[in-house]
Amino acid sequence: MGIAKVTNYVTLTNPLVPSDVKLVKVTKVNYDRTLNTVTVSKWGDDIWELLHDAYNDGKTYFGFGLYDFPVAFYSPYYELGANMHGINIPTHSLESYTLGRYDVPNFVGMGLYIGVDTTGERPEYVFISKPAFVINNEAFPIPDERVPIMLDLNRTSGYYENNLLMPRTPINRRRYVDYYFRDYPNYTDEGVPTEVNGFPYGPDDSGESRPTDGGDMVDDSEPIGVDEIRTLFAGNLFRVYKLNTTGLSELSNFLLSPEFLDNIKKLFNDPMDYLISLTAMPTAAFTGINSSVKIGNVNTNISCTQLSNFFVDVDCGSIAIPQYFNAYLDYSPYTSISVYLIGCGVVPLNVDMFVGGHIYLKYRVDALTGQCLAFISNDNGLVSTHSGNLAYHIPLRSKDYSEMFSGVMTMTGGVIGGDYASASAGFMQTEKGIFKPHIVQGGAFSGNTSIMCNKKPYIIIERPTISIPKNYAHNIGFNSQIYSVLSRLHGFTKVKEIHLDNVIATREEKAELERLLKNGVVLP
Amino acid sequence: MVVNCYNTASDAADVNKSLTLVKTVNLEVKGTNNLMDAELTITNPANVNFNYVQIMDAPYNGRYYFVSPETTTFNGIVVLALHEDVLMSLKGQFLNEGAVIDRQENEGNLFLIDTEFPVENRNKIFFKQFPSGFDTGLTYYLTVGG
Repeated sequence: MGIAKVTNYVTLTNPLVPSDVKLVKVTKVNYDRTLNTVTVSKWGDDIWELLHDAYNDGKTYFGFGLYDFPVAFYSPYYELGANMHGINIPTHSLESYTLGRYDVPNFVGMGLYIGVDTTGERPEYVFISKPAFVINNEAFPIPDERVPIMLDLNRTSGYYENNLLMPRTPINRRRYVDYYFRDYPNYTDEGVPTEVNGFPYGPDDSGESRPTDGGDMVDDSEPIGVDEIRTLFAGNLFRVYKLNTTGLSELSNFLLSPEFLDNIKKLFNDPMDYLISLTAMPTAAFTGINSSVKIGNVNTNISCTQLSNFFVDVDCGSIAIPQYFNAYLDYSPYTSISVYLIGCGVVPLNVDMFVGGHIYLKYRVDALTGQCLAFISNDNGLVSTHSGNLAYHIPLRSKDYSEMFSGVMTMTGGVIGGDYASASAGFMQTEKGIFKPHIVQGGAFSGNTSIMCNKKPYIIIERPTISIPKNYAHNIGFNSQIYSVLSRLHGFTKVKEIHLDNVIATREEKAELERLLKNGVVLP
Repeated sequence: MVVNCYNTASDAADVNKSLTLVKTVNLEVKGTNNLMDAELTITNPANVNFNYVQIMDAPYNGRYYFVSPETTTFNGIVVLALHEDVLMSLKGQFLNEGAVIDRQENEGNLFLIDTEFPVENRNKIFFKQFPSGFDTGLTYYLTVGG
């Protein structure tokens, strides 16, 4: 049975799944090859109480399952302590249970199976396990996506006979929930839905070719990182000093002192010719050596840091973007993400690149010009860069001030409130026929404007609001698009296409049957 | 013909209908070639206390029928119009057929775009800050020649 990473799941917060189920974790499962026995041990601290309650409710049973069928089974229908098919279960001893003897191939890859009786209104408990399988004292941790836990939504019950679970009602609507409490809705008795060639197809026993024929569909993406900072060699052409406000104050006093003017005038007509620029930036991350400010050959004795590299990285960290709906609504055009970047403004991102992962933000800043480059990455690598400027240029003389006014202090794009010129081109149509204008919420700040903005970047996520009526699944059903034998399905089913080749009936009966199936029927 | 008379409250769309047997009688059945429609003749109107029947004999061979609420009475004889419930009659066959499923109660793929999914035309806006950023204070950088 092929088990692959499943991407089409819904969370326990989905309306299909009760939200008040109690979650219990199991930590370890032992398999003894010599004795051919399986032992569950190291239960969570609170499991005894919950199992005790479950036992008293008579609604919960558990055992090991080979994904779609339990081969080991324990049920409160049997008295604790009873000898069940040769398995002696000690009364009230859940610290270590020997559940049975099984062949090795049958056991590998199993997870804890939990079922809930049909007599209950809803599952009382969902047991989540991430057991480290121990086989002959060797641990074999099972990857998260391969730890199946079944949540039996149909509250089926059964009994144990000839080493097989005999369901009292057809076991259906079982679901696998992995360690992250995700639920695999496309489960059928065929097993966990497999991901074929990258397509999250549901179970399909047709054996027919996929629409992917002709392409290899190999997901061979390579992570792209951000290169390390390179050192810019400037020789002795210029130096950049990092100053605090005290140092800056001392410097201005020094520049106006008669001693300085006398010394520097021997070399230059205007002493200010030595000063290339003075900028203020909202980061002290640049590093260098402790020094004193030297202007020409004049040592001011003002302590400072002389930068050893003119570039520095500022890591802003990451933000998790979990799946909010665990549905197509988590992706564009239904959900959108923008990021506010100091020095760059508010820029839209492609939400599809981040949902289910993280947004990582790192800046690289140039001390000489104040130019910055914002690197935005997802879990797989760099996805976009945005340039801006972080420096506030402080005029050193009147000429600088006039230049700054004419050139530097520009701001492109719209501000918050909307750029409706681009909005007209940015209309998008959703599947529901709803038009939403794409409005630019900010432009790039450059020059001195960025200093006035928020210093901490943030993201803006816009999500739709869903309004699911009660019993939506039963009355309308969810979009499915799977191929399945009808007997494997349960509940409301609307057939898209069917060929009733093997049904012996009159032409009128077949036509009526096909019409009804396409209108929707409730399968047992 | 042998006719099992039932009462059912199940929805017509239910493949498995919940049936309560009222009685089994031997009645005259007039049918059509396609077996979809038939008529049942009952001499006593008081005996019509069922809404669903199964006709056991050939050519009906156990097919199930809805009893139409519209009846015809002639000289005290009630004629019940029957329409076949092909879901119940043929379930033993068509449930083994494979099909492409459009919508399903339990096997939905929520990552498929679903035009039936009720989505409001109002959005929720969320803001999240990065854990760190730039300094709120300023640091000064002096660039000098030579």
